[in-house]
Formats: sequence, C-alpha cells, structure tokens
Amino acid sequence: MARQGKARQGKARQGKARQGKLCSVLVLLFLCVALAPANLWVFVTQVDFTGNFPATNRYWYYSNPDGSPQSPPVGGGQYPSLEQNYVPGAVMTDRIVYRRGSTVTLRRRFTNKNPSSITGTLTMENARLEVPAYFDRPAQTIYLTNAAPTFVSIPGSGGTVDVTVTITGVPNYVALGWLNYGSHLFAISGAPAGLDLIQDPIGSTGTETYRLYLTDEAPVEHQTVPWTDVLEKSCNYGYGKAGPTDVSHDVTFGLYWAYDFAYNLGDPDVSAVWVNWPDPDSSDLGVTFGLRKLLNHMYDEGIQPGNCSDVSTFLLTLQSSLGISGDLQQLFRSGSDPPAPFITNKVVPIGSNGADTGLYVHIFFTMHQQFIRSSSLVHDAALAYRWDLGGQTYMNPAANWAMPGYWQTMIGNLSYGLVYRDVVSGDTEQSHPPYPFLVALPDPTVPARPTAMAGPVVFDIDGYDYYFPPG
Amino acid sequence: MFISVLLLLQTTSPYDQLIIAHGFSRDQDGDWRNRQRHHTLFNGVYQVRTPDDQLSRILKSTVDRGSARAFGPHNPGIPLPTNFLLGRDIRYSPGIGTVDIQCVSSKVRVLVSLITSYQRVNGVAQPASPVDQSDYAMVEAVARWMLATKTAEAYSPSTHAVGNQSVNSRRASNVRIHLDAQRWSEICGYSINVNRQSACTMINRPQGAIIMPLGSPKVKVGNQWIDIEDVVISDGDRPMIPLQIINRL
Repeated sequence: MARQGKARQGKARQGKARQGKLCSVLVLLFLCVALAPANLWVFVTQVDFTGNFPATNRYWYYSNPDGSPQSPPVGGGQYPSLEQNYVPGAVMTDRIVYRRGSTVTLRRRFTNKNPSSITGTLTMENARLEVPAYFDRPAQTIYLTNAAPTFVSIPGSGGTVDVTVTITGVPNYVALGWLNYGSHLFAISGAPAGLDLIQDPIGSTGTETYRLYLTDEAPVEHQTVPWTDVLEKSCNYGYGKAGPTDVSHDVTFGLYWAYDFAYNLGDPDVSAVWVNWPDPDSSDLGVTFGLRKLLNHMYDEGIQPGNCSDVSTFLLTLQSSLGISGDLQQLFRSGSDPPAPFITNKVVPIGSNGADTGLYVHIFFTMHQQFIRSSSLVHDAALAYRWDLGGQTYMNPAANWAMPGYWQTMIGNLSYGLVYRDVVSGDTEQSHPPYPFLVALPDPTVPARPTAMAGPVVFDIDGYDYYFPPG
Repeated sequence: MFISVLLLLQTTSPYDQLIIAHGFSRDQDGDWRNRQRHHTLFNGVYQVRTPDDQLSRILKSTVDRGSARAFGPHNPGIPLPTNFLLGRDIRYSPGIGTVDIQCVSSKVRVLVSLITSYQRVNGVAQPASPVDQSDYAMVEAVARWMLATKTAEAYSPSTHAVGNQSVNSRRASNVRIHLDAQRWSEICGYSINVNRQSACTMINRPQGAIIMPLGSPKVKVGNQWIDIEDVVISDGDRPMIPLQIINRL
C-alpha cells in the first residue's frame, strides 16, 4: 500500500512537470505564430496538369466521381481531372500520364492568406524524374528542364492567382517514375523582399511529387483511359523503348520474365482463369476479362495461374495502355472438326525459367492464343521458344514473329515456330521431374515432319469487356 | 468471438458456411480467400435463359473459343468425390492448381472455381499449395448447395397438403413440385438426416431409405435411382423432396 502511495505521488509530480512543459510549449508556439514571417500565408491550393491522358486504376474504374464505390459497379470511373484541390471533401490523385517526349504543363493556384496583397517571382527548381530500379535496371534520376521564373501578384485576404508553367526534357521513350520539382515564390512587395513565400501543403519543403507514366502513343482500345496499375507494369516492361516494334517486343519479353503468370498446364483442361465466355449467344462472343481481380491477386500474391488466353489478353491490355494497337488470335490445326492436337516445338511455359535449357519440353496443344500486331506479327508471352525461326538459340518469348512462319517454319526436315509436327501413334505423354504437368514425348522414330504441316485455322477474338466480380 | 462466429454462421447461406469452415474469408472483391493456403474461390450464379442444353453449348463455346488446353479430352468424365450425379449437365475439372465445377438446372447455372497462386521452385512454376481431395469435396458440396438453393429461389413458394396438414413447397410447374423434406418426414413418421458436408439428405423409411444428393437429377429410393424432372432443391438450408418421388412411394 505504501509503495502504491509513493507511486501515486510520483505520478502526480510527473503530471505537474508535464503541465509545466506543456505551458512552455504553448507559450513558445504563440510566440512563433505571433512573430512568424509572412511566408506562412501563401499556399498552393490547386494543381491541374493539362495535355495529359485521363487515367484510372482498378479502384477508380469502379468509383463515382466523388470516390464512392459504384453501385452496381458498371465501370468507367476516372481519376479526378483536377489532380490536387485543397478544399474539404475533394478527391485527388498523384498519378499522371503523358505521351513520351511531351511537355508537362501544369496550372497551380496560389492562395494568399495575408491581409495585404503580395507580389513576387515564382521559380521552379530541381525538376526531375526519379526512375525506380527494376530487375537489371538500376534506379536513376533524369533531370528535366525547369520552367522559367514568372512574376506573380496575389491579392490579399484569400485572393488567388493561377500560374501555368511547363516542364520540358521529359524522356522521349516509354518510362515511369516520380516526377519531383521544387518551387519558390520570392517576395518583391507585400512582404520582406526576397522572402520565400510558398507554404506548400503538398510538400513541406515546397517539393511536389507525382507518379508519371510516359506511354509510346495515346492509349488505345480498352485502355483508352489507361489503368495506372497496368501502366505500372507496362512502363516497366517497355522502359527505354519507342515505337511499336520495340515497345511491343519489350512488353512481351517483360511479361514473360516478370513471373506474374504461371501456365496452368497441370490442370486437365487448362482452363482460362481470368477470361470468361459466359454467353455464347452474345453477338460479340461475350468475352470478358477480370482485369481488376487479376491485378488484385498479382499485386497481393505474386504469380497467378492462367492459360494462353489469359496471358495474351493481359498482354493486349498492357500493349493498349502504351498505345500499341493489336488483336488476339487463336491458332488451330486445320483439317478436322474438332481440331486435332499438335506437338509444340520445345518451349518453357511462362512462370518457369526460360533461361534453363534443361526445362525446354514439347507439349501437346490443340489451340494456342497470342497477341498480334499489324495483322500478322505474333507476340506470345505464354511460352519461351528454344529456337528462333532461323533455327538459332533463342530462349525467349516470340515477339514480332510474322505469320505464317510463327505457326511453323521448315528448314530442311527441321521445324521451328510454334508447331513441331502433328501427332502420330507412337507419341506419348510422360512426367518430367521438375514440372507439375505431363509433357509430350514424340516418337523418336519420327524425328521431324518432312513437309510443313497445313494450317493453321486462325480465329480472331473480336473484342472483350472487363467484368467486375459479382460478389 | 464465439457468439459472433455463431451469428455469422446463422446469417450466411449453407454453402458460405462450408466455405468459411474450409478456412476462407471474403476479400474486398467479395471473393473467398484462404490466405494460408494461397487459395481463392470464385463462385457465381447465372440465370439459364434458354432450355436445357445451355451448359453444353457454353462448354462447347468455351472449348472452341478459349480453353487453350493440352492434349487430352476436355471433359474427362472424372467422377465427383461423392460419386453422385450433379446437375442436368456438368463440367468437372479437378487439377493441381484449380478445381472447377460448372453445373446447371432448369433455372440456373452455377460456377464454383478454386484456384491457387503459384511459386517458383528450382526455376519451375508450381502451385504454392496444391489443390487436394478435401478441396475437391468442398467445391462439390458448395456447388450442390448453390445449385439446390438458387434453383429453389427461382421456383415459386407455395404450400402443399399432406393428409390434413400443410407443408411448405416450391413449384415451377405442375410436375416440378418439391416439399419441405423435414416436415414431410415428420408427418410420415420418418427420421431424416441432412449431411451438410456432403450435401446429401437421407430419409429413413422401413421400406427403404430415400437418398437425395442436393442438385442431383436422380433420387435413390431403396435400391433404385429414379430420374426427376429437374434437380433436388433446397429452400435455404431445408432440403426438399420432389412430389414426383412421393407419388411413387
């Protein structure tokens, strides 16, 4: 009991000491406010980027303009066009999308809380793009060209002025990173000359930061309003490239090597997981793609299962986000209904290590789907191919491989491309120790087909829509 | 905590209870996730707008238009874990990374799909936690409960006289009439057992048991499986017996 009493007394003393300290702090705070320089009274209260592409992400797409969830979730929601707006209840974003090489234009609104008007010189400094590291690409800083100093005059007592400035020197290739810039408003009149007036609610040191995505061209098709969580991947994959040939190539390679997908060949019918064909009576086939669901799982868990329909549809989405137009095609063997199976050339399915020569195997397929560009250039991120169409070591996904050579290219008695040959009675399936699925063991007495196999039958997927999980 | 779990179980459907008991909880999209096993369960119910070949056409469409599959039959005809029939048409695909069931009644199509995330081991992608027999059984039971309850919801609620007593029923036509099995059994003096895990109801009669797997297009009476007009349905967690079967007893 005595010990408890002492403890109480001790606590009381501590409480008094704390009260004393609190009073001191309050007095100091009051003095600070009373003696504060005028630069506490100018704020950046709006930032609006112009010339950028409207964008969204997997959450905003299913949100109302005020940020509340759509009910029902019909889609089509976008980020607010006014990126920063410091009024109660406003929704804001720090994601901006421009075409590569664009001039970044931004309008900033300054609000003067001082009773008297203020004039000054607005300067911008240290504009830069902080590019994140990605696999073998180290983090780097790209310095941009700051906007020229501008004279501004802001009325007092809550008066505002809008100032539009530009940042140039943005990379003329696909890129992403944090766009940073600092700014100062040096007083000329209304405050001590030379005093920096900016108090920026966005950054305490006057630095503003936005996630900037640079696409190859204006985003197209289903990504006309691109999803930034798609761009987060496509800009990393296509980083440093410009033009459809190089960008589509690198995005295909990037998807294969990103280990976001694993080909679900261990399941009996290798079903599509994220692509649905819910209504065969629909005029547009009713193809839907669970993009939000897929992104949630990828960002949350890592490697997701999928078949070539899933991988190619996601590849189409990635390419569209960067402005690369294309389509989806399915290839079947011709000559029978239903189509007969064929044996692929040696491949490593997406998700496994295409750099390991010991993992290349033949697989039985009856259909294979890819992304195509310019009507005939195949991009297949679902498989790494052991050889290219000229018979040289390749060990990468097909990109810009022209049809019909992609289907099969014969050099002498050897076949390259997707198809090794058709199936003969001596072919078997066997387990391959590393893989969780059966691989094809072609009859060794039939080393290659002496003539090219007929086909393929090409089936184009006309289009698809996103779907939101029914819940 | 215990009470809240009890309340949750009381307010959720029979199939949700099975999913929860299997270690799943809802994520932000409304999907079921078992984060320990890296499993996700998708399920959905779709209205059947055209007659009974809907699922076959959907499956054909899926095969023709998008199921990029390896060599082998698309629908290998693997029996369900309970070995009972399910739906008027079914696609069942048990694998190492996924297990899918699509089944259909005269009114609804039900999809239940369990998938697992992958990981890389020695350069090879493989399921982080392979789908196993207990998952197959759970997915089957969920599909049965969903098909049975959603089909019942598509029927009209009604009552039917048994002797001088009224029994809740559901009807879709003059033939497709189903009576509350529990109430009917009580009136007849039979004992009834509803196995939630296997989604199967057994009514014990001296003349021979009646076995009614939910969602099944057949009911077993004694030693004989009898076709019914649609499938065995359930009004919520109360399985129903087809009048067609009662009339044959």
